[in-house]
Amino acid sequence: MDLLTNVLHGFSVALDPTNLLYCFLGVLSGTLIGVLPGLGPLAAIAFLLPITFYVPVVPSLIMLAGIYYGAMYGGSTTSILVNIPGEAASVVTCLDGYQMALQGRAGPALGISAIGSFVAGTFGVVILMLLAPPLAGFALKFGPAEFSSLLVLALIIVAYIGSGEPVKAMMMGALGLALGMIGTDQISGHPRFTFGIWELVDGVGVVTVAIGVFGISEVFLNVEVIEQRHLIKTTFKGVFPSIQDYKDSALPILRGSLLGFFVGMLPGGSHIISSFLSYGVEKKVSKHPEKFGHGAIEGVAGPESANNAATSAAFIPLLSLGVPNNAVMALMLGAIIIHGVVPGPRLISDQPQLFWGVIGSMYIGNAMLLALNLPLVGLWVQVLRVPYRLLLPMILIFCLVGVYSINASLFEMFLVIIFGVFGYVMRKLNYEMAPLIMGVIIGPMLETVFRQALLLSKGSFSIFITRPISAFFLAIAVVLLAQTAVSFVVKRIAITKRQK
Amino acid sequence: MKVLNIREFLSAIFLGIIGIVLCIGAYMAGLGSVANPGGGFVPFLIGVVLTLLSLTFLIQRIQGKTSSKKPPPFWPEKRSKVRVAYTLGAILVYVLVFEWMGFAVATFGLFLFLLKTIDPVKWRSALFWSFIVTIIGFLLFQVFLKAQLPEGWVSWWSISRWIF
Repeated sequence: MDLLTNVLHGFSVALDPTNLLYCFLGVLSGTLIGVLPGLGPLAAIAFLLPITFYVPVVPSLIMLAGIYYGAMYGGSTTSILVNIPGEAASVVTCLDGYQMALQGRAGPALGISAIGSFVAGTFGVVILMLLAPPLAGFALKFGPAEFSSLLVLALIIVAYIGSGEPVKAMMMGALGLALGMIGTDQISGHPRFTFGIWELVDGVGVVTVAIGVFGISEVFLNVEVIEQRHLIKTTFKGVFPSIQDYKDSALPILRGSLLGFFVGMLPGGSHIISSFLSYGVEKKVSKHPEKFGHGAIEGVAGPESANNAATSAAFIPLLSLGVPNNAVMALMLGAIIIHGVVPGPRLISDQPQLFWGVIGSMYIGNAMLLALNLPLVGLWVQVLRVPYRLLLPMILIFCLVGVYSINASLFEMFLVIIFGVFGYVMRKLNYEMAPLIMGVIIGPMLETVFRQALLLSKGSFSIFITRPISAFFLAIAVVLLAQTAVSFVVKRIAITKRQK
Repeated sequence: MKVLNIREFLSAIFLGIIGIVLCIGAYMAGLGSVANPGGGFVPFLIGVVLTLLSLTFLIQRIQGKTSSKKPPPFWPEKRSKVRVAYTLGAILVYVLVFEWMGFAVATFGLFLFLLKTIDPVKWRSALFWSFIVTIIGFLLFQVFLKAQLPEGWVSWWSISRWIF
């Protein structure tokens, strides 16, 4: 009964005209970002963060969430029609989606992609709604030691699971934590690492770092190579799949939803990994694996469902524990903190309008996306015609003016450029920026709980291993670190043998 | 022959230096004790971790985890360097003149410059889009979000005085 009351409350919040407008703006810009190659939800959320300063926390989070799951819908459109993944999670959709388009079956591919996304997205929201409150209840038992270990684990997993070298990712995570230390010490109240610059007393803003390393650096990377994108003319009649298509896709959608949800919920799990895993599973269980890569509809339905379910699942650790499990969630956490809302297990009980409002908006947003993506698919393809020579300066202006608008500070504009150049150089050297932003956001939280834990234990580090939940989190972290070290040693031995 | 990627090597040294600087800064901020950690305690630990990771990376690279392939060129195209330099220079100038010239003039100028340099378009098109983007930016930040953007010396007020 409580659940029903809460859901109804969520819908009443989500259906508020302002929230509805921000939900629409979120899914619309998410689809747009998803369609445009090179721009992911991370960059989009980063350069739209300043807007959230002017909007209350509920519509802010509704809009940012809309961008995230909207990008998953949009990304598939260009993968299918022009073989260009608009978003990293849609890379795998190119394999069979584009082949279907070449065979004149672009319509059913787009249709099943949107329907699968809708089913999985809705499934994800239902499970999120059922799972997050009890998890938050369980997390109320967490003390500073458990939270310290959980935050360390989240950071290590994000570094470990990334696409690059773990050591590089961990360096970025540590650098992020270091950046998070700049400013006033939250316990003693003394300024640290400010170098006499008063603007740094409040710390380096999450928005400043995020816009720099994701927004400005993205522009530099795109400016290097001005792509001459040509739109391939693909004709399609109708977007509704046939009965056979539905039959072939039903199980992949179900499997993709389940797999995506579980992967998305894990720290470091993301929509990208889930779509690749789903493709692998579908190929494995298929009676005709040889069809994969040649236009199998299962290869579109599974991954597209998985990445949408993963986006909903990613909200579970954020909203129930206050711990982000990927960089997009870290930015959302930043948006919550900006508004003075304390993240953590008490968020659901203290801010029911935020939690249930976001849940309600996700149902509505998924329905909006279905309406936006099926009938208007032709329009989104036209978006690809927007030349990057126009788009890139616009993003630059958005980033710079957005940062200025927060505190009317030229210093922050310079800082954003410095982080932009830093992000650009480091990305070119294959350093990942996700652990960096995670570090910046969780750094102050980690420091506070870590010092509280030591104060509680009167200086004994054993508090982190004598408390079972904390020990469990740390054990996982140690296993991951050991695995990295072992794999390095094994590779070294193999190289030495080969040289001999 | 194995090739050491010197850029990666330098980046790790740079991060290692940051780690050491962090340790020194943390020490100066006051480490406190384990039972009562000071403001520099956690930053010191982070500095140590960053330095150790940087050393691990350098050792990995020196001990043969180098590539036998030549690292890819830093600039993918001949004009990449020029385009990035133009963009960086333009945004630096934009920030310098932003408050003095005001949002409208500075934004119009930046957009026009980028449209004429990165991937040049015709003047008419560049002027048109610069005007449109400036108006959109003004409407979004000043009107919709009610942010305080600098008017600079070319304010709407001064323009109206010239006209009337």
